[in-house]
Amino acid sequence: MPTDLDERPWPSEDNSRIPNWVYSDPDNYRRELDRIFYGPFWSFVGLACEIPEPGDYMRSVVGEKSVLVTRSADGEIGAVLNICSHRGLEVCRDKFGHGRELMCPYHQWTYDLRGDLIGVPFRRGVKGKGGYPRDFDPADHGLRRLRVETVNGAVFATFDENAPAMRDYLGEEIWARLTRVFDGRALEVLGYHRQRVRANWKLYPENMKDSYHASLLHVFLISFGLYRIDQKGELLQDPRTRAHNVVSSIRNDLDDVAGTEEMRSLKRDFQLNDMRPLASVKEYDDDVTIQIVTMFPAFTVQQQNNLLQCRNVVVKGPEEFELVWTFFGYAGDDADLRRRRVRMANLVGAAGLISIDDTEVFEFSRAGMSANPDRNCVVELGGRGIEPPVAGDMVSEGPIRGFYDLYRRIMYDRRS
Amino acid sequence: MIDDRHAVQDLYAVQDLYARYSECVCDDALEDWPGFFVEECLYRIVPRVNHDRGLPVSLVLAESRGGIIDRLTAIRNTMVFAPRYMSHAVTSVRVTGREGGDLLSRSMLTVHQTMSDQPTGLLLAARTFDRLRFDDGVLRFAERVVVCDTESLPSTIIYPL
Repeated sequence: MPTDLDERPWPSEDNSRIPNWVYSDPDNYRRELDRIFYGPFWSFVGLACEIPEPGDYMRSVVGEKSVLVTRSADGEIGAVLNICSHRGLEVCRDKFGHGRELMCPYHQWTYDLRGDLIGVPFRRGVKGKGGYPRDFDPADHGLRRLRVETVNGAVFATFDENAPAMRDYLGEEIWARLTRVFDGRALEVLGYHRQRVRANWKLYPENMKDSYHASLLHVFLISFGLYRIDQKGELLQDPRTRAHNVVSSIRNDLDDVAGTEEMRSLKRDFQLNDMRPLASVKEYDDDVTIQIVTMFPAFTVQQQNNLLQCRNVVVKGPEEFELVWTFFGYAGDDADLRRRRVRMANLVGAAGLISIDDTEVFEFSRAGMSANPDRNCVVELGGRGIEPPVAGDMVSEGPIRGFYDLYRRIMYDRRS
Repeated sequence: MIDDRHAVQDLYAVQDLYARYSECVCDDALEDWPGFFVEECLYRIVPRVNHDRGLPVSLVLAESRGGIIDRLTAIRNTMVFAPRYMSHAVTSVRVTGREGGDLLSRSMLTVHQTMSDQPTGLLLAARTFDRLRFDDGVLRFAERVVVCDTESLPSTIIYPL
């Protein structure tokens, strides 16, 4: 049904203007839940190694809905909506669990790990009295199943049967980069961080596509030479949707820099007393030191040297999200490599030497945008179109414009 | 249980250390912060879920006083964040044991944060598990492990705990 959302004009034909209200409007947010998070798009729900044994399960989230990711007796990974078909309770409140069945505590409706309803107390009543009608069929009342696809140990779920398979969803180029990290080796979780950010969820994927800010905001990153906009890099987009993309970079020698005179925050005289959090070893077949894969709508996996992390955005309303960091390595890592990953975790996360800058400025964004919904963001770096920048050009906001190309088609497409 | 005069003195010294440490952070006198640690120290802030599941990643990890100085350098010079005041409440301070010359101690920690233009809010609730050492006659942290119950942090952690 068209609403006043459909009448609200986008400030320009192209995506070089983004209206501030898309970052705060409650009606727009509810449509995002319905059309994006519960639509034919994939959400990250966890790593298979978090539920290694048959009978393991864990809580996760798609949109605002709690789901359980399970490994059933045959070892297969599935996901079910975490709400009892009887009275709507969340069946499971434990973060992780193990067992043959899931029992709602209220009236003890019991489900197997695939979601089938296998037990209903007093179905035939007591002493011949009461109970469920004769035609009550437990097969009609299982937990709602989600579609699940596991990509080399990373588990994705969608409520919509029409979502394309993951490889087709991402496109070949993005798929190749995702499977550069999720390369088939068994994974191992090294820890979690979780933090609330009082800002609109879209700011996170936009930030992860934004090579502009990285060289200006992140003083730590540039001062210690971990990334600079003049480094050899790549901005890739899935050419069909424009909404999945990759930012990658190869570290230069520190003296081999250009354009730094415009980086007012660059401080050349800093030195670390303890270099261990930056000490990395070459790990992949290429020289890429930073690779950020962003999947529409809101999942990111980043490799920064030996540091590997999933950054998943969990929406909590129009102006709040939770950022869930899952740090991981490969099960076959030796102690030295694992220690490097653990030390580098200092750079990112809820107390990260670099990442703090991002989550702090999102709240500055919320403060500015929320009070000024009538104003627009100016997104013209690298032009006004959605074409990916020419190879090697990192000075572009093209990937953000690309995100809004798909977003606007999903959100403001007229449907009856 | 405290059963002798030495134990009372130790407890007094530990409580005094915790109080001075909190004052250092809450008075924003962070230049004194590295001096609360011995040179070869371990400082970790860990989410409780990682701690309970034996996962090695911390929120903050420093494996030397140099690492603590690096974090201080970042706080003072490189990190971008909104201004705030911190308020630490340290309770239930107890010496739980001795190993060599070290005192093992623990405490309950509640941290409130006050952002400009905002009412004061709770940042986190945590327990600390510490190893203290007399170093040049001063009691310092050889190890400080802060285990945070607050899994979904309402904000970033900028300042030391």
